[in-house]
Amino acid sequence: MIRTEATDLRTPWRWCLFLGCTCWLALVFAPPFAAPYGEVVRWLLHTVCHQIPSRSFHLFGEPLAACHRCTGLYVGFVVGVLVWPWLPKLAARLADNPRWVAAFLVPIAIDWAIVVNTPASRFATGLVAAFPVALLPLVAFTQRTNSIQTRK
Amino acid sequence: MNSKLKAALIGGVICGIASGLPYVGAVNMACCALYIGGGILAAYLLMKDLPAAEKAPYGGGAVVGLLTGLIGGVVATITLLLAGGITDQAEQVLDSLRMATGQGAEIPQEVLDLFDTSRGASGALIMINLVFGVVTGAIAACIGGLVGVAIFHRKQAPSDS
Repeated sequence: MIRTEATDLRTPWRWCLFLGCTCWLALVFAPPFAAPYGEVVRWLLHTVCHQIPSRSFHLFGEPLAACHRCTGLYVGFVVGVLVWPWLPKLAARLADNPRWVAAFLVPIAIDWAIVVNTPASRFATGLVAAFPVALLPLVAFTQRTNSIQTRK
Repeated sequence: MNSKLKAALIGGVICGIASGLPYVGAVNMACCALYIGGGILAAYLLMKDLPAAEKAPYGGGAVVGLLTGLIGGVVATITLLLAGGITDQAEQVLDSLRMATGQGAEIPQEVLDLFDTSRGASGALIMINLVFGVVTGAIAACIGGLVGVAIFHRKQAPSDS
């Protein structure tokens, strides 16, 4: 049985979430455009990513502020926030079986564990891991909105 | 003590100390793994005493994760200060800024002074570290809290309802 709690994810809060994670993604892409302060932007994100240039995408010859895998995670999350509200049946199914979210983390774990991986595999597995995770805050917002409406 | 605050305090202190320690803190470079782990731990501590329910309490998980990250960010900055970790990265930034200045870029002296840690980390640098540590910690631990709820939620059996 599919419950209905995740069917309407189109709460206004999703735009706040979208704005926040887009700003974060902008920070990742900022160094090539922020010369000569690119290193300062990279320093801001140094605690969340190793930022090894050979394992990061380059734009105009400058490495981004996050590695392939982290860039994939951030892009996957932003895409998830945008796309999940338009996939209500799939969202309801996943919200009903939330442990499946952990299954999407398996490819990234395998890719991390194997020695020979490529920029494409690191980016793609990051994307796959973050996409379903984006559903969870959307469901939390929906639950919150529903409980406020119920109290009214 | 409130069960959410208690779970967040345990998760936050553990992930904060681990994040601030040399070498152990480097685990965070794997997509904030320590903060996400702290959020998952806090969610587990919250969920273990909750009865089985029809809906997973994602709101509660997000709040407990957020609190974990806030506490963890503050604890990590204090641990970093005590362990001297703030100065190492600042020196790298300063070298890069000096190189840019040598190549003709105009960088205000205040910015160079901010990253100059020859007489110890400045208050502004510590403040920026604290604010960014708290913000990134809160985001990562919040996601950890949500994932933790997804993993540890016990669904109510049909006969219970």
